[in-house]
Amino acid sequence: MTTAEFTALVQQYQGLVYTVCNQMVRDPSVAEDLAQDTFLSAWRSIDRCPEGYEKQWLARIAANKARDHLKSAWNRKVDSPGDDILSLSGAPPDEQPEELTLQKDGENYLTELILALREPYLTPAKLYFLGEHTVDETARICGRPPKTVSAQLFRAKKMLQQQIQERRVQDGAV
Amino acid sequence: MELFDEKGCLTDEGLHALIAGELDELGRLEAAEHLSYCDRCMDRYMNMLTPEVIEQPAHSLATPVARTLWVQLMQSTLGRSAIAAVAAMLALTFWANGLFNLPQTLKNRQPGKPQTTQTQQANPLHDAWEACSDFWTGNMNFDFFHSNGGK
Repeated sequence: MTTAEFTALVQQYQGLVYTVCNQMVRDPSVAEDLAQDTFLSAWRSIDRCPEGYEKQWLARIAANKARDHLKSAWNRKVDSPGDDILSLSGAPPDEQPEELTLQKDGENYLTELILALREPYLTPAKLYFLGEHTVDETARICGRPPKTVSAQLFRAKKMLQQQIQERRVQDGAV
Repeated sequence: MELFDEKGCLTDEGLHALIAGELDELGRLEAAEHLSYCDRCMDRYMNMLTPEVIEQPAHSLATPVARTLWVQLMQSTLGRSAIAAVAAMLALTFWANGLFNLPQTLKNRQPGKPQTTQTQQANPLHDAWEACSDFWTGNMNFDFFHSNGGK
C-alpha cells in the first residue's frame, strides 16, 4: 500500500477510529492521540491487514490502544506494580487471598467471595484460585489471551482483598 | 446493568452503555479488554456504530499522520545515508593511508628484474605468490623456477 492509499484510508476511517477511542477513554484530546497512534501502528503492520476487513482491523487496534491507556491509568490509580504481577505485594501476609485459604474459617469465606465475583472475573478466578490451574491453562480454557487473564486475575485479587478488608472492618478486627 | 453475560461476552445493554458513555472507568477498561480479542463482540459493536453515532475528531488526522510518517521515512532514509557516508569516509581514509595498496614487492616489481630480498629468496612460497600475481596482471615471470633450480 502506498502512502497516498494509506492517507485515503486514514480519511475514510478517522471518524470510526476516533469514535472507538473516545467512547473508551472519554477524553477527546487523548482520543485524538490514540487515534493517531492507531493509524501509525496500522501503517507499520499494514501487510497483516486482511483484505476487505480494514474497518474491523483498525477498530481492533484502536481498542487495544484504548485498553492499554485505561490499564495504565487504572494501575496508577490503584498504585499497583502492574498487571503481570499477581501477588498483592502491598497487603499484610494474613490478608493475602492465598494465605486466607490456609485458614479453616477463611477458606469457605474466600470460596464464597470468588464465586460471587462477576464476569469477566468469575470464570478465570474459579479456574485459577479454586481449580488451581496456571495462568496459561486458565487462558486456554477461557479462550482469552494470557495477558488479559493475568490482568483480570490481578483485578480479581484486588476486589477480593477489598472485600476481605471490609469484612474485617465490619467484624471490628481492624 | 450487566456488562457481561454468563459466557463472558459483552451484553447488548453493555455495548449500548459504552456507546452512550454510561460506563465508569473500570467498565470501559473491561469492555476495551474484551473487544481487543473477541471477534464476535467486535462485529456487534461495529454494527452498532452507525453513521449517526460516529464522531469526527476536532482536527483531521490525515495531516498529522502523514507528517509523522514522512518524518519517520526521512529519519530512516537519512539514517541509512549517514551510515553509507561514514562507511565511504572510512574507506577513503584507509585507502589514503595505503591500507588497500598491494604489497610493496608487487608494486615495485618490474618484469625481468627480480627484486627479491634475502628473506624472500629463502621463501619459495612468496616467489610463487609473486609469480601468480604477475600471471594475473599479464607479467609472467618464471624467475622463481630458476632460483629454485627449475623445480
